Amino acid sequence: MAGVLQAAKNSITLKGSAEIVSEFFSYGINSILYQRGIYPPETFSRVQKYGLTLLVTTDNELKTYLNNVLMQLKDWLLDKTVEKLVVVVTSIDTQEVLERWQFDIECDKTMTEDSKPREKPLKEINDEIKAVIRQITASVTFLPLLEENCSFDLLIYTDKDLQVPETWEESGPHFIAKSEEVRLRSFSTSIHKVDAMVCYKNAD
Amino acid sequence: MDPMENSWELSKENVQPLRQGRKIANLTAALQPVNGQEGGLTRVQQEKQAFEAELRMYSGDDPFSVWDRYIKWTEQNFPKGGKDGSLSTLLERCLLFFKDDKRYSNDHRYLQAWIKFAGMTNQPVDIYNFLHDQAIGAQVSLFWEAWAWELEQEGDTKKADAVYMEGIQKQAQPVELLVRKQKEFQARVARATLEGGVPQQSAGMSGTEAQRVTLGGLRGQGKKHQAPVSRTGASTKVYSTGLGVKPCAPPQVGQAFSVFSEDNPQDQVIPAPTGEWTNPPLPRVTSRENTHKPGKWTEAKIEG
Repeated sequence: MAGVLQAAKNSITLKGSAEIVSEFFSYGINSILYQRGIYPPETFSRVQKYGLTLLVTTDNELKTYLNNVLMQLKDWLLDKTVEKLVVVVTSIDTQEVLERWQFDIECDKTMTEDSKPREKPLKEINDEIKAVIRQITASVTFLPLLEENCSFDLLIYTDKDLQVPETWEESGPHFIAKSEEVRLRSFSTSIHKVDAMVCYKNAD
Repeated sequence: MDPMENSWELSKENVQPLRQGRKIANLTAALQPVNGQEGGLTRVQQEKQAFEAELRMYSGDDPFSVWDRYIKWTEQNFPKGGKDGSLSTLLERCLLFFKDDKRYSNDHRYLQAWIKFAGMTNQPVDIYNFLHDQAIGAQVSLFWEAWAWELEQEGDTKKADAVYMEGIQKQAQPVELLVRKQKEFQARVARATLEGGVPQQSAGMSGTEAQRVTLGGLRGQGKKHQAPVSRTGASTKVYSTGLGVKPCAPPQVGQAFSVFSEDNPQDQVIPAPTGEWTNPPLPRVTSRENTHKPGKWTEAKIEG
């Protein structure tokens, strides 16, 4: 019996992988919004996740927005049509892009819902995710101070031929002209691989 | 993953965040353990010498540009802040050097150096008072904004507002920035008064009720006029003797109202520049104490 349970814990299906990845984005985006002060800190509450204390928004509007985006993202993760998720931080006053958090997503296209589950312990995946989120928190070390009021936007890059859902619109990439780039850690569920990176305005 | 790439994460506690952000290449290099090259100089020392040499040799028409690069280089290469790269000494040298140079009194970069320096001292407002007196930065909105910000941090919102007004009136460039920052500032003050006003009252009320009064009078209870067990509220005598102990008033965030006074017009909140204050209030001058140089005790003689 124990052996069977063990096997179930270490195997991962496409659906489970999509679940894990979209959950990571939920916490990851919340962490960015908190760390970078895009929403007031008093609108966040603490939760324990991945063995860390993370802050999650309590703002209802923001929650609904994030949930909608993540639901859609999960569908695309299942279809394996998503390539990137980007969190863009823009100054409200000047409309200038100040920061760009890019998450490259690699999907294993051979995997289908019915194929045999892959083997990777959940603990290992969670540890990798933990390391990524820790780096997001630690990035204050080098990121510039956001001194003005900022807003954020989520961009999702998908395969070209994908039908755009009604609530979504096509957008430009919102690049930063002269930017400094820092690669962060990555994690993999063995079906989806996520590479994190942050770009910010150059010091001079 | 390359261990070099993530060394910043291991020493994140040793890095002082910079307003303008850090260059990751410099940061990674600065955090590497220094290889003890025999006899030779490290990369940082070599670059520092190159800057010093350039300062002496420069003959172009923008001498400040070298200083500017030197300062930025120091910030990027000594991530720990503090005395490590002796940034404050460098800033002081630079600021004093150009203090009377009219070319730079409204130079954006020069002002930024002053603001950095002010941020490192204990009395930043003194520095701004001095700059204002010397009319350094009067045309740059950056100066007014930084000054108002420091005043706001000290809780002097009235003067902070006056500083914004003065800057806007002087048409410091870009003036739109000042107007915007003043609005944000006013919104902050309004919010602080709204939020601070209500809980302050309730906290104050419960504070006085629950506390026993030092050396206060008590009403006796029963026939024998025994001291009551509960010594707050109704069992204390109402009259107050001596200095009442009041709970300390929390520092006022916003002015509830201002008393109008005829002989205290706006322009006295910020005095006009006089140009008489020639020496900047450097911390090493203002906080100087009498100290004796260490010497041999056996050679000490009694004077007189």
